[in-house]
Amino acid sequence: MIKGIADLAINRKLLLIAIFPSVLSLIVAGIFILILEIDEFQKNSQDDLSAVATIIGNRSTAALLFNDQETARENLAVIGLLPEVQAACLYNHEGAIFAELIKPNQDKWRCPALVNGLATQFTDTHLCIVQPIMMESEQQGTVYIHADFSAAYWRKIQFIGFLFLVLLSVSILAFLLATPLLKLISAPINKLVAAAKAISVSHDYSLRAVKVNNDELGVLVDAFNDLIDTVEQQSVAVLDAKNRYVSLYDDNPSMMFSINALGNILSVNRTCADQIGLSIKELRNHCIFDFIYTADIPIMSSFLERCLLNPSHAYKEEFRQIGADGQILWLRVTAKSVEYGQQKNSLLLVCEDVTEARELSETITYQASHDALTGLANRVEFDRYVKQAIELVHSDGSEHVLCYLDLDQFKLVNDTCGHLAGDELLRQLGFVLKKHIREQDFIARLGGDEFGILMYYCSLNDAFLLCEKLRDTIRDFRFHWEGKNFSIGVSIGLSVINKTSGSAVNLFKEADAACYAAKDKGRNRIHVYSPDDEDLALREGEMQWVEKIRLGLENNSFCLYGQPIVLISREDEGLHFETLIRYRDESGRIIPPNAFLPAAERYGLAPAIDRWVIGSIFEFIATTPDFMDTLSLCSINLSGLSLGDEAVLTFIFKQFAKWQIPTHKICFEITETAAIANLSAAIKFINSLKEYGCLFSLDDFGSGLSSFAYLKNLPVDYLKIDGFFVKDILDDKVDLAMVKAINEVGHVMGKKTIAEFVENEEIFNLLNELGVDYAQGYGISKPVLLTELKLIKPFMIALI
Amino acid sequence: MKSICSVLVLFCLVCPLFFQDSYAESMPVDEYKIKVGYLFNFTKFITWSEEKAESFNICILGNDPFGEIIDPIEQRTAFNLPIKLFRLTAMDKAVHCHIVYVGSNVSAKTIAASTKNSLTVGEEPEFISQGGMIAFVKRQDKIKLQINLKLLQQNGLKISAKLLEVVEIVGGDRND
Repeated sequence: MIKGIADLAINRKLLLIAIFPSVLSLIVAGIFILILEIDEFQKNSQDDLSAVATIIGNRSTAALLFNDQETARENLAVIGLLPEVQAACLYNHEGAIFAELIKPNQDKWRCPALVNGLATQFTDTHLCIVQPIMMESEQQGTVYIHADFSAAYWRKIQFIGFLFLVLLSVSILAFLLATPLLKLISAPINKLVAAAKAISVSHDYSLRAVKVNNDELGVLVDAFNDLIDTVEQQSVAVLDAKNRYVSLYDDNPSMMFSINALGNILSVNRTCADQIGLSIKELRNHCIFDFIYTADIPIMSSFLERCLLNPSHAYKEEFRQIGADGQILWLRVTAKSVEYGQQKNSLLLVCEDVTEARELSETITYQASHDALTGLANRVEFDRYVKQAIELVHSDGSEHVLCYLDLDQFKLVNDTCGHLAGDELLRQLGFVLKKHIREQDFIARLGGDEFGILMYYCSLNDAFLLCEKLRDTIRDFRFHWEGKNFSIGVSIGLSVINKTSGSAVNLFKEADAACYAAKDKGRNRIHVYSPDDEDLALREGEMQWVEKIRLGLENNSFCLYGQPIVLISREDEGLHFETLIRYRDESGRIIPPNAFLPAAERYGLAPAIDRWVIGSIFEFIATTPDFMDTLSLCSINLSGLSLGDEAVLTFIFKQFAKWQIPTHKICFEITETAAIANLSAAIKFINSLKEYGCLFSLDDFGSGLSSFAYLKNLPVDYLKIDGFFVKDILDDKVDLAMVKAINEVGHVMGKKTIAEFVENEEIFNLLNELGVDYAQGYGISKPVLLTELKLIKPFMIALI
Repeated sequence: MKSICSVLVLFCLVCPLFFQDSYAESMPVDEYKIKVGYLFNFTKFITWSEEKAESFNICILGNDPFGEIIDPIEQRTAFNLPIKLFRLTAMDKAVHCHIVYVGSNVSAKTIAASTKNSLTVGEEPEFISQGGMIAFVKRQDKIKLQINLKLLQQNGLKISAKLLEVVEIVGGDRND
């Protein structure tokens, strides 16, 4: 009951407080009034009737004493006027009925036969009055009255009921008047409650409770609003923080997964959903393995296991993922198990799309191991395979063969039809070679026009036969380019890989040497390396030069010579010479350059030698007294590798600056083949130095494979006619015609001509007739030490 | 219905009277008992003038119809005086009779002069007319009282109104 009341709304409680006392007092008062009224009524009735009985008794004494029943009856009749009285009786002193009055309209009530023992009393609504009649302290008789007060009672009850109704009406009126007062309390509370409910339901913390009055409830509302202020601020702050974190999560360009130990997805960020092409909700029904490339699933499982076993550590791994449109993406997944909260044993995965990097690295890996032009493996990769083959030999005692292929006449195609044609030729040949080797064999392009083939499990004889077939195939192959047909040859060097083989480097050297031997013997040949091969011994000697050159440059084992160049017209010019290099060995012997320069060219040491030469000659010119004055022009040979080397160019400029050499007194000699090998770079190099004032001469012109066409493009000042033609012009008319033609073309192009190998006066004179500008050769002067250089007037006597 | 009720009521009223009467008739001695009671009862409704007396005297003048029935009255009191009974043949001046019962052989006229402050009671039919004050008369077998009120008051007696209700007041002519 009390609980029921306690749970009532406040206005109901207030109502109850207002009504309860009224009703209680109404009921209690009603009951008391009823009791008191009835009691009073009974008392009064009894008193009244007793008084009446006394009077009647008193008046009836004489009637009793003188036995006058009529008078007694008359007296009793008076009582009959009272409506309640039903019967009245008079008893004599012996207790016998003396007279009686019975209401004529009722026969229910009679006088009791004996009055003795009866007493005045109420029985329900009936009152019995027993009043003794006393005279001089003697009882003369008794008056008995029986009255029925039902009607009176009913009237009484009606009266009380009416009274009750009046009180009730007053109570209701009072309550109606009190209702607005109750509302003063309940309305603000209800408003406060409504505001609190609205806030709690909508979570809209901008809502406020309305303050109605300035009482305690007003204070409560203010306090509530202050609280909501605080909550709103904190809510905004929390929301901001949440949004920041959500943005950090959702807008993160990396894919993020939260998964449980089984791999089921608990949550993902938006990037992830976009990447996979499903909604975040749909993804929650999936397992991480659904999106992992099938082959990577076992790796993923073990990876997750590792993460769970060692929660303090973050692990990284790369997986393939199947993306929205089915393409495969490479993801670098960083995973860490979550150690706190309800998500214990779950994993947080941050996935970075590394597809591009991966592809790039694959491309780089591919490019690092493959030749871009032919699509074959490159030298590095071939080297690796050779090393593996050596290991294979040592593990199973097998025998393999390393083949070194060098194309003949490739330069012809490259030079006459351009690089595009050369590239196309290499591509086609690569394809042809690949088609014709055995399935188990490995082919690579080693650089330029060189190819390598590794023949697995192959005897030298089989290899030789296979190579012959390859050679024939290439020989029969025709390269078509812009209506021209070219046939190509190939020189092949073979080196066997067996238990006696050395390192991979040695094997290469052997095969390379064999290939050169094949080339030297006349092209389109196959040569098998054997350690006691004389040709090869020479090649190996060449290789030994590499170390000698390196040391020689450090220890100044080289020395410079000069060979004068003279004007055939015999005009004075000053000192004009070509700088030549010599090697001085341990025993002091002077070694000519043809012994070591090919090795230097082959092993990339030529630029170093060039630098040494430039540095040394500049120093000599600058430091030798009066030399500069007599010097007309100093020629310095540049190797093909130096030509087009920016570092060499920079070195040259620095040397000019260092030794203060007039640039117009320096002429660089370049070979036709070197210039043509990289024509555009050579032209750029030449122009740079020419702008600076230097001069250039084209060495050995006519001996190469080039045509006059190149000459147009090369901005040289001098043409050096190859001595090969010059030395025989006296006997060979073709050579004479060649020299003549070269000289004429050179002059037409505004270049001065220099004839090499001028060995005697006859040649000199013929050259004079031909109009060649300069002459150089043993007939003029042998190369001499720089210090011994002097002005020479050749064949003066003859001319005079 | 109403008539039946009234008949019944009448019957009820009549019956007890009938029985009482029959009872009185069958017991003639009781008539005097009643009369003795009445004599005593007079002391309660009639007030005598103040005079010094040592007893309340009841005198029986002439014939004594009561005999020994009346004797017990002497054991009672009236006005706080003991009741004394005197049987007289003639009025005695030495005795002041508060109540004088006049026997049948005495005429009321004879004692009229000496009844100052005395109540004379008789039962002869001419008693009142002879100058008696209260006479017992028998009506329908009931003993009723006749009172000469004037005479009573002349003799200095006061009578209670209650008594007057139950008596028959008659005017006494002296010429009888």
